[in-house]
Amino acid sequence: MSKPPVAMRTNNRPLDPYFHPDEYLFRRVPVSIWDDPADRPGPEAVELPDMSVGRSKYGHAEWTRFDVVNSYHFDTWGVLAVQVKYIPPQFWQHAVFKYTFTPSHDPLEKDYPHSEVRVYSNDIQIKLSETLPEDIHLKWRVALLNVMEPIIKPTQVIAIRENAPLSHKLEPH
Amino acid sequence: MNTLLRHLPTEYTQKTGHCQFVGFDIGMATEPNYTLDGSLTAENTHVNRFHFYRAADDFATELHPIPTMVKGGYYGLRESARQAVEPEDPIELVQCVVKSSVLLPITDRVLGKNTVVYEAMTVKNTARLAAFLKSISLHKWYVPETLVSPAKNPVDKWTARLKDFSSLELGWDSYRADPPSKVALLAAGEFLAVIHEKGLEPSKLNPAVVGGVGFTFRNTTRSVYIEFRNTGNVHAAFIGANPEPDVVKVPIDRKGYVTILTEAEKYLHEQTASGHADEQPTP
Repeated sequence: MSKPPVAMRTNNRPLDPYFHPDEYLFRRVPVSIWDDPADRPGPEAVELPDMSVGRSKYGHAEWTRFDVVNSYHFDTWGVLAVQVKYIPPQFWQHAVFKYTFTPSHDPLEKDYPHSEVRVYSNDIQIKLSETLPEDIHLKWRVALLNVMEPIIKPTQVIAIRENAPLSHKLEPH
Repeated sequence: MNTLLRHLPTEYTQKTGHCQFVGFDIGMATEPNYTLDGSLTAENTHVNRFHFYRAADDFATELHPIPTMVKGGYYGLRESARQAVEPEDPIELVQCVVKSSVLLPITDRVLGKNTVVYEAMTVKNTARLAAFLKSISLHKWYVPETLVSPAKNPVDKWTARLKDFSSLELGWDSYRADPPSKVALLAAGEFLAVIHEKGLEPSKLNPAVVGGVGFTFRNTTRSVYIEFRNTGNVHAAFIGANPEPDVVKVPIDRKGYVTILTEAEKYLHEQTASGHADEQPTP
C-alpha cells in the first residue's frame, strides 16, 4: 500500500487561517457512491457541518485519497475540487437566520492540509448536523455540488507527488 | 416462552378460528418450510419467533422472546455469543415494520404468481402481508433470505442495493458518516415500492454521508434528488431549472410518495417540453 508523503505531516507548522479565493479544496468520495468516471456524484456525497477537505496550498489532490487517521489509501476513489471563491457563502431562512459557510484550516498531526467547511448561524458556529434546518442543509449541498468539479475520477490511476505544493495553484504532474 | 409483544390476545385468534400465521426464526440454518396456512418448521431454533396472525378483518402479531435473551437461554449461550446472533432491537423493528406496512397496496411483484394462495384473505390483509414481507426483506438479520420470496420472484437490483446499505458501518465514507438507520431504510423501501408501482426507475440509489438514503431521478439537465434522512424526515430537491434548487419536505406516507413522484415526473418532463437550452447538467 502507498504511504502518505512525509510532506503531509504538520511538523510543528502553525495553523494558516488565510485561504486565497482561488485556492482549491479537495474531498474524496467513496467509489461505492461514485463509480462511473463519466458521471458526477450527487448531494449524498457531501456533508455538513464541518465537512473535511484538503487544501491545495499544502496538499495535492491525490493526497486526499489518504485517510491518515485510519492509515488507509483509497486508490480507486474519486476526488472533487472546489475553489474557495465559489463556495456558496450564505443562505437565509425566513429572512431572520443567516447561515454562512466558510473554510477553516484544521491541521492534523499527519495531515497538515486538512481543513473543514464550517457553518455559522448568525455568527455562531454550528457543530451538530441536527441544528441546521434540513432544507437549508440540502440546498447548500446541491449548490456546492454545482460548483465542484471532478479532479480525480474514480478508478483513475495517478502518481503520488512527494513534495508539497509551491502555492495554492494547481500544479501539473 | 413469554410473549413480549401482543397486539391481539391469543384467545381472540382462537375464537375467530383464523389462526393462520407466518412464523419464522432468525438464524435458521435450514430452508424454511414456509406456508401461509400452516406453521413454519422451526429446526435449529435458537433465536426468536414472530407470529403474524390474520383474522377476518384484522391482523395481529406476537413476538416471542429470543430464548437466549432469557438468562442462561435454551442453549446456555453466554452474553457475548448472544449479542453476536441477535438483532439489536427486534421488538422495535417488528413494531416499526407492522406499523409502516398498513397503507401499502397489493403488489404482484411481491406476491407473484402465487396470489391464489392468498385468495381466502381479505384484500386489506393481503396488502399488509405483502408490505410486511417486503419490509422485512431489508433486514438481513431478521429473516432468512428465502422467506422473503415465497413466490420465488427475483429481487430487483434496487431492492438488493437498498438491502446492502444495512451492512454499512459508522464511517463508511472514511470520514464519519452514519450508516442509514432502520427507519430510513424502511421508509426508503416503501418509497421504492411506490416507484415500482408507477413504473419508474431511479437513476441512482446511494447511502447519504449525512446519514440516510438518497434517490436520484435524472433527465439530462434536470434531476430530482429525494433524501430519506436518519432523522425520519424526507426532502426532495428539484435541481437544474434555477440556480438555487427548490427543496420541499415530503410527507412520509404513500400519498406523499405518490405526489412527489408525480411532481418529479412533471419536472423532468417539463424540461423536454420547454427545451431550456441554457440549463447545465446537474449532479
